[in-house]
Amino acid sequence: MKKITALFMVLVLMMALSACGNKGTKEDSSEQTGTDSSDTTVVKFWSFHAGGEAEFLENVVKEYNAAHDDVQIEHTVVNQSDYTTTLIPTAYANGEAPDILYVEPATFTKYAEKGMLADLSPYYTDELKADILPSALEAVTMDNKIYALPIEMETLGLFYNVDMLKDAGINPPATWDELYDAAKKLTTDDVYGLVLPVEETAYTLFNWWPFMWMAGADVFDDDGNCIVESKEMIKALDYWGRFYQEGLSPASLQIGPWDIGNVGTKAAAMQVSGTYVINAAENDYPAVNIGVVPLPSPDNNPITVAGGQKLAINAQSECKDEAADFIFSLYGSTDIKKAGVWTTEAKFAYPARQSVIDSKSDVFEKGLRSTFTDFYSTAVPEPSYKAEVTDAIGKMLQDVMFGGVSSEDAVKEAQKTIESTMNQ
Amino acid sequence: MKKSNISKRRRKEHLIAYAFILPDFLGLFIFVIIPIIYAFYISFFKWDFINEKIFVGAANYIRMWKDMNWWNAMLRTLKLTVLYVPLLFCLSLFFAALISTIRSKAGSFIKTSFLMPFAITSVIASTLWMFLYNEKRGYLNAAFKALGLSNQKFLGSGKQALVCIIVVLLWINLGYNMILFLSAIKDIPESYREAAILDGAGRWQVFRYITFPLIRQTSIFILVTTTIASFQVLDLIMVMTKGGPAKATEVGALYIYDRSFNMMEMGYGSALSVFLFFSLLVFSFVQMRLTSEEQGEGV
Repeated sequence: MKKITALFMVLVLMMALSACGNKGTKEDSSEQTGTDSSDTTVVKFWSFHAGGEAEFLENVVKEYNAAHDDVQIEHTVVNQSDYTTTLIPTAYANGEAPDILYVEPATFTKYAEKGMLADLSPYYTDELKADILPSALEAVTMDNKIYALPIEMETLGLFYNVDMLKDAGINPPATWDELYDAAKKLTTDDVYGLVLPVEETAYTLFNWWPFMWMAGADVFDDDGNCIVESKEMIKALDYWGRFYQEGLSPASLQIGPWDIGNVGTKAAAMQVSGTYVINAAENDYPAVNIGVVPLPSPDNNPITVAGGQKLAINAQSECKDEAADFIFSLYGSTDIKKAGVWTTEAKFAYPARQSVIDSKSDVFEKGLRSTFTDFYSTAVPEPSYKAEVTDAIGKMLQDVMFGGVSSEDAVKEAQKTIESTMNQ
Repeated sequence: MKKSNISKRRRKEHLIAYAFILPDFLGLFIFVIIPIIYAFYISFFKWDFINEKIFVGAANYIRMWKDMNWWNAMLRTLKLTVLYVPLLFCLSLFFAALISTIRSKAGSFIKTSFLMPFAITSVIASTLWMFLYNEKRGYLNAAFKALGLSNQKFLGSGKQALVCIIVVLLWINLGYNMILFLSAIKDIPESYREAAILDGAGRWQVFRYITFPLIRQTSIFILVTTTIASFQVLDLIMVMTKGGPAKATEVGALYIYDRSFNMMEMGYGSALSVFLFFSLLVFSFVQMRLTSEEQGEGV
């Protein structure tokens, strides 16, 4: 009852947030800008960023609004964990969803399939299409329509405390066996050998994909058949599960598995995390010697995963053109300055466009970034599956990690669940 | 003349009284009653928030019947209730009885200390306890180590996680329920107890035959409200385990949340909520019925 009440409060709150589009824009916009602008279109944009990223967004919105009399961006910052779980779906149900929203692989397929996202193909120039990395463009394309604008590529690597490894006489691991041995040696009563994600979330899957691929396994083959039940998947699960079963990796975490604080505070010797923690590693833990290597692989042939946020436009929006103008001027225009600032100053990630990468090549060679740049070519885009498939893989992992279920039984169950949802 | 004046005044008083209740009632109607009715309505549809609702009759309820994940989640909820409610009841009653015997100022200090956790937001309480439960650097394991016991995984262990959450629930709610008991105990006229003591009753007998029967109303209230609350635990679990490890703490409310929002199956989520609502209604009704029957016999 409390929950339903809370949900309803959220709905009411959303109604209170001022309306988008041309409805009643007269009052809204004059209140906002203080100018006489009876034809002003208000474009709603929801973000969830903090720190330097939030500052960047605030500035570009301000700049855009100052340069446009007829269009005003109304920027609202909300909590990230509520963003994709409750806020976006309930806002859509109400017809009050933002015109511009973020999607990530974990939500892209779900949203695109339900018709929540507008087709952005008309806004893409041929030049832009050629500039965006093919795999990034493919990841936002469904049935020949492009539903989002990729703005960043975040990849995973193995971060480690250089001094802790040195003291233990261990070289940074390159193979699976070396990683396991290192984690085992470095685990003590108050230090974890290796921090991997714990909870049944999209982030855990994001970390799992490269390990699965490195073992030669996948969820679907090229023809779309489910191939979860395979020797390779069992091998990957056995390897991944061992860290938790033997207590080398935590079963519960105080701070997020992505937070470099795990290695920064020496609570862990090694940690799988991504490009997004490099700024924090440098600024928050200057006294800790943190290094990074590619994710270890069974045969010294590493693969990493590339995720990251994409911008999309609400299919229900009444001001798609205006919304598109804003996001494409930011990340899709021939003037690549802002797209570069976003990925190199506001945060660190790889731009999704070759021209931006080329223009910022010096940044990608700085410190820990250079390692990521070295293995950037091994990145495979984070897959975006239906919610039911993600759910089945998530359960399979949890069962092996903590449920005492054998990898053989776990893959069988996941295969069965996925096949039954595919047949529906 | 006079008569009509009085009735006029009365009517006015009634009107004022209703006017005072109105805002509260409106709030209840808009935020509680309408959503419940709406959830009931939605439960007969297939609805993903975005597209048209499709009427599916009882399909959601049939699916619920066959959904083993749901029944497992409900079983965990039941486990939590069976452990948590009696523990909370006994502990808060025990401490209330104990504190009621303290006559000095220390009593109010102890009361305040017990009540303090109740004033803390559940999210902060969860975070606090995660520090204690931390496997490698937590205070609990440090204490265990000092006692020569081995490191425990607490929230990371499938066997311990639910118990760990119950402990936090107890910590938060003990003080509040204790205060309720305490005020009920204070309402009992001192003369009853004195008479019993004069008749040669010991401490336990005073409690068993005087105090406990006379605070029955409060006991019923606490039993019913904590049972309901135990079915709705969500925030603590969302922060501490997200239902893990391996679904060991995935209770009914969390499963409903997951189906409704992550899977965007609002119709199915509503059907599950409606089921939970009615089972709680029946549960509370039976609880109240049982306890009021006892009262009937007693009088």
